[in-house]
Parts: sequence; C-alpha cells; structure tokens
Amino acid sequence: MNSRFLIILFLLIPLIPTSRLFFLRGATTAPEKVPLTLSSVWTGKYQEWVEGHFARHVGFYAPLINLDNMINLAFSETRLNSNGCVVIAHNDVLLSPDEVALFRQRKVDWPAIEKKIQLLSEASQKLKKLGIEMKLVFVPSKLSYFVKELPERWQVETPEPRPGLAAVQQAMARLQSLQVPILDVRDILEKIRKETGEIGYPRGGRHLYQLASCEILGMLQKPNFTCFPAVPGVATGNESDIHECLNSFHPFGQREKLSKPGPVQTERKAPRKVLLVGSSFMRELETEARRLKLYEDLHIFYYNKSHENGVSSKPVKIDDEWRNLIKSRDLIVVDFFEPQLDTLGHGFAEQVLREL
Amino acid sequence: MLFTSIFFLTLFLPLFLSSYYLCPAIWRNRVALVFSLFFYLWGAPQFLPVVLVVGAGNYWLSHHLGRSSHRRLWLGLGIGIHLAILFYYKYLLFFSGQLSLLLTMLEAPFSLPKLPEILLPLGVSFITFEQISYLMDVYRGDGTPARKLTDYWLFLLLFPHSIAGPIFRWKDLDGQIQHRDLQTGDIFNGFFRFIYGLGKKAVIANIVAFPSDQIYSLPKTEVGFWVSWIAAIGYMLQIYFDFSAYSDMAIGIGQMIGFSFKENFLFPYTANSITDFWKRWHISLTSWFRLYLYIPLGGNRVGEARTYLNVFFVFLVSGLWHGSSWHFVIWGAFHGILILIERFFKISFGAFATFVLVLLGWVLFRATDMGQATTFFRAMAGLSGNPTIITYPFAQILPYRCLVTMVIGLAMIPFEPKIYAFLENNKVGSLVRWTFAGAVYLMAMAGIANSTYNPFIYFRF
Repeated sequence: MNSRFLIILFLLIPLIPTSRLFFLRGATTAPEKVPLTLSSVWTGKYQEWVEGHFARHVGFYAPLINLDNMINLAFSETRLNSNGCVVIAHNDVLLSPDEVALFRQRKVDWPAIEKKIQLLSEASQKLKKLGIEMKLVFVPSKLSYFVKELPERWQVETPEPRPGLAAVQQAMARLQSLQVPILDVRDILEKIRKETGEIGYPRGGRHLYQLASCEILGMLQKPNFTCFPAVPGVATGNESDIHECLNSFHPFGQREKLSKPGPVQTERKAPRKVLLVGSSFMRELETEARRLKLYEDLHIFYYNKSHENGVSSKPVKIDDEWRNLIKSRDLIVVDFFEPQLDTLGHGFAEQVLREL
Repeated sequence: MLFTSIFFLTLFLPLFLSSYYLCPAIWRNRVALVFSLFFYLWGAPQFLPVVLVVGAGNYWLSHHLGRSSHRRLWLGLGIGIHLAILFYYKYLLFFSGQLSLLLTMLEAPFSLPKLPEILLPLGVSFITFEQISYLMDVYRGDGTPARKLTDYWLFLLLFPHSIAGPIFRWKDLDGQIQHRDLQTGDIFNGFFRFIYGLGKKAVIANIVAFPSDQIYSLPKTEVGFWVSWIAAIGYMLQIYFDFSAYSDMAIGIGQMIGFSFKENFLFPYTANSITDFWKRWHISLTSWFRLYLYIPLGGNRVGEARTYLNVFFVFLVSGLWHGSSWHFVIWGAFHGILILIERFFKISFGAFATFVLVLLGWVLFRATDMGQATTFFRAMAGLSGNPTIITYPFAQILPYRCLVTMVIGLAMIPFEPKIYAFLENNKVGSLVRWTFAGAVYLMAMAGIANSTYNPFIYFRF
C-alpha cells in the first residue's frame, strides 16, 4: 500500500466503533432531526444537523469526551464546558456552580425579595380561605454542608456574614414572622445525621438523597410517617446525577453507599390532591411520592413553567383548567431552594393573587 | 464546515485525500474543485452562486483587459464592483447606522429607513481581495489571465484557504494549478503541519479562550487589575494560536496535495518593532495592502508627509477590513501611529515593548466597543477602582488547565521555529513524529468532541 494512505487511515481512527466498550452517561437531548429539503440546505440547518449527528456517532466520541473531561477535572477542579459545569471539591464532593455563586454573592436586591415574601404570605392566606394548604419547603444549599471541602481557589473573600447567605436567613425569619407555613429541610437533615451519621446530600449528586425526600414527605403528610429504619443502599438516579453527567475516566464522586428509606407504613386519612411548584427538588419529592403511592392526584409545575402530571407535560397556562386545578388541591408545596433566593416562589404567588 | 469539526476531520478530508490520490494526475484539479465547491456549498449555499458568477465576471474582465483600449476604465469598473459587493455585505449596515446617528444628532427632519439584517458571505473579505489582486496583476502585466474559468474558480475556492485565508495572489498559484508534483516527503510534512495546526487551535487556542471570554463578559464593576491582564494575555495568545493554526492547517493540506502556499505568520510575537511585527503577522494581508493600496497611493515616493499619510491611511483601512466597527478602526489607527513613531524617530521599540504594545492593541480589537476597551485599559492601569482580584472565584475565571496552557503557549512562542523545523525534518525518526502527531490528534479530538461549537475567530472577517 502506498505510504500516503497511512495518513488517511490515521484520520479514520476515531471512526472505529467503541460503543460496546465506552458509553456516555447522563441525560442529553438529541437535536431534532432536520429533514433534507431545499430550504433546510439553503439555510444551512440541514448541514448543521448532519455534522452534529455525525460527530455524536463517531466511534471514539464517548472515550474522547471522557478523556477531555478527565484532563479538565484533574487540572482544574471543573469542566471547561459551560454545559453542566461541575466543581470538584475535596473528598470527591461534586458541586454545581450555582452553589458557589450563592456563597460568593455580594449584592442582594432585598426590596425585590421582600416583595416576593409579602406576596407569598398573601397567597398563602388567600388559599387558606379556599381551604387549600400552602407550604414552603426550604431546601438548603449542598455547599452549606460541604463548605470545608471547597478548595481554597474557589473561595472568595467576601465580608462576613456573606451577603447571599445572610439574605437567606433574613428571608426565613421574615417568612416566619408573616406566618407563612414553612418546612425547614435542615431539621430533617439533622435528624438523618443523628440517625445514620450521613449528610443528607450524596457526594456525587446535586439533589437530596432519597431518604431525605422520603422524610420531607413524611413531614408534609398528616399523620406523619417515618422512613426509618433506613436500609443500606447505593446512590442512584438524582443521588448520583452530577457523577453521571461527568463522563470522566477518573472516578470522581463515584457511586457511594448510603442509607435508603426502609418500608414505609402510611396511614392516609383521606385521598389528597397535591401540587408541587418549583425546581428539580420538587421532582424528587414527586418521584418519591409516586413510589410510595401517597397521593390520589399529583401535579408538578416545574419552575412554574411546565405542567407535568406524571404522564404528560405542557406549558403552564393560566386558564379555567388552571383555576380548577388549583381550587381542587388539598396541598400546594412551593420550594425555596437556597441558591435560588432571587426567584423565590417562582411567580406562583402573583398568579394566585391575580387569578383566584 | 470547520477544519476542527469531526465531520471534516474524519469524513470530508479522508474522502478528499483518497479521491485525490487515487485519481490520475490530470484529474486532480477537477477533484479539488469539486470538493472545494462542495465545501463552500455546505457552509454557505446561498452565496456560492454569487461567488461563481462574480468570479466568472472577473475572469471575463481579465481577458477583456488585454484587448480593450479602455483598460483603466474596465479595471476601475471591476474593482468598483468588488468593493461595492464587499461594502453591501460587510459595511452597509454599519455606515447606515452611523449616518442615522448623525442625522439624529443634527436633528434632521428625515431619517433613513431601517435596513434588514444582511448575512455575511463566508470569507467575503478574503475572496474580494483575491479578485481585486487578480485583476490588478493582470492589468499591470504581473500575471497572465487564467486559461480556464475552472482554474480561476479553483484559485478562489480551493477549500484550504477559501474562507479564512491566506490571501493568494494569482501568480503564486497559477503555475501550481497547471503542474505540481506529489512528493511523499512533502505529503507527510504537510500532514504533520496540519496536525500541528489542529493542536494549536484545539489544544491551546480554545483553552486560553476560556478565561478571556469569561472576563470580557463580566460587568464593568468586576473588571479589576489582575483579571484585565489575564484577559488581555489570554486573548493575545488565543488570536495568534487560533489564526496561525488555521494558516498551518491550510498550508498543511496544501502540501498534502502538492501545493506550496506562502507562510502567513513568521513568529510575530518575537518581533522587535511594530514594523517588524507587521512583516510577520498575517503576511498575506499586509502584502496585499502594500501592493494594492500603499504603492498605488504613491508609497514612499511622494515625499515624507504623504508617505506618513499613506501609511496611516493603509492602517485605518486595514482596521476597517477586520470589522465594521469603530474599535477596529481605532485598532488600525493605533498600529499606524506606532509605525509612524518608529519611522519618524528612526527607532524600534524592542521586543518587550513591542510585545506589550501589540497586547494593548488586542484589547482594542477584542472589546465589543470603545466603552469596554476603555474599561479594560483603566483596569490594566490600576485606575478602575474595582477590587484588584475579583468577586468571582479565581478558579472559575482561570482554571488551572487554562493557566498551564497559557504558560505553555507563552513558552512556545520563541521555540516555534524549532517546532516547525522538527515537523519538516524528514530525518527525524518517523516514530517520534507519528507519536507527536498521535498525541496531539488525540488531545485535539478530545477537546473538539467535548465542545459543541468551535468557530475560528477570523471567520468574522
């Protein structure tokens, strides 16, 4: 063979199929297929899709990404890719950058937060008059439990108390003074720590672990139930989500052993219709509630933008269906995730006050 | 289709090279033209007809120039058409915006209609300059008109250079289009040069871009002393390793198919004066401005004052060529003034001062507008009043990988001549060169696979 064809063989190496040996973990959304039409070619959309599709199906795609992430993480404690950026703390703790953002936040728009708190208070009163219970669930930042693990390079000198964290405490105090029902997950995590010695956040995940979600539902459910005694288990799903999307040869935050909820005895007095409003922490509660078959009818307004009922998903739209759904609820749970203080309530209180 | 796309690297390029090597020598231009047409069609289908028609018109005009008694008129018409096309696509919106602003300031009783967005054709600045140089060379007798239209189209669209240079002159390529040899040694040298360029882009430029991209998107109040310097150095390395990488890849592919393209960069950051810098940076563009603007303006044969004016004007135009925005024009003026200072005082700034001055110039170049450039200059001088470090974690602004890559990039600058010599030294054991190529290719492909969008900076022009 002519030696110049060595070059071609060299360039073709990445096409060798490796999908049986290597694969990418974590959720990705494949771009929608663009049909081959004159218009799609003319605008370049077809070419863009073909190039992306081809790249994702090259044999070495997965190992190449793993290799690059390994280099990034080993060097820099972070991924350089802006998608799914991760901070590696000591002892293989994986953090999301928004956790660090709260930690370093210098300026807080308190009047705007105060207004959101007022609206939540008024919405809670209004719903109460309609016979609907509204509860806020305060979910602490994962970083607050692993702050000692944060590498020095990621810390920023800010005045103590750190303005972002102080504002959260101020918001909590204000919500309590206005008698907004609020469930503080920190108490639950403390209980878990005493019982199992574990922190309620898995090292490789962004979210609370299953036992904590189970306990939150226990506190929301009347009468209470307890998820203890816990049984040994391995982090799965959301408990390992950052690790799952890391895709690195290096075993950062690899699946850890942690306590899982044991068999739960529920004593339901009446079927309950529930709405969860908020971030992916609400999704965790939803998953756990469905597993435990706790509620008769469960809906979630994910970031108050997408309406999901366990079967289908559609945008949240204010109409008669929305009003009927709200009025038919026994319990509405709104999350207050610590790093997302700026979006407290997700605009739900304003809608309730305006539309009901 | 970018040279750093997986589609190009593992499908287009191997397919092209296989077809090129397998076909008889007399078919090779056709194979190169077909693949080049596909390459341009793939990236900008709506503009290919424009390039082909305008190219055909230029080809006709070049032949007509020899026969016509109104040669000067035809030349002016040809150049006028090319400049009008460039103006329409690249500058119309900018100048109409400036005119509207002026009318508003003068409180004129009428206003200009708002123009729709105009898409910039791929490589329009490069192709326009090549068309003009072809016409002027034929007019001056510095080259003969292309024998076949397909030869001329190949000159314009040959895919290694069509969208981001280097800017060719017809006479440099004419003979090679007619006849070129495929030497195995050259093919391998070209291949290693291509891989080296790929590495410069994907392993260095893309990584050092990370801190400067982040810092340039910070709010004004966050730009302090250290971060502004990190951004400036990061961008200085990025623009060199990005743009020269493209030239390396273009030259490398050219060598792999028997062409010998002129160098476009000669280690510009080792220059010991601004004049020297411009002999080493984007050489094909500097040569173009010298041959087709500076010399026709009279060059240095028209008295000292006019010479200074000519130099300054050329740099203003060069700034505008890089982008339709005032900060590009001011960047051009900045370099023009520095060159005039060197000429007037008959001095050279020296290597270190040149390096710093070029770096300051890149701040003007990278900024989104003059306001941002001023913010960065104030911060670099320690006059911003902002915190010296930053309220963002240092690790987020400058991850270790970026820091290490910046250091490697800076350290590579004086050693690049040796790296090129190593790549072209056929006596070096092939195992060493192949290991080098394998490691660079692996790192580059890993970075490319892990990124979704990887444009070259110079595609804007």
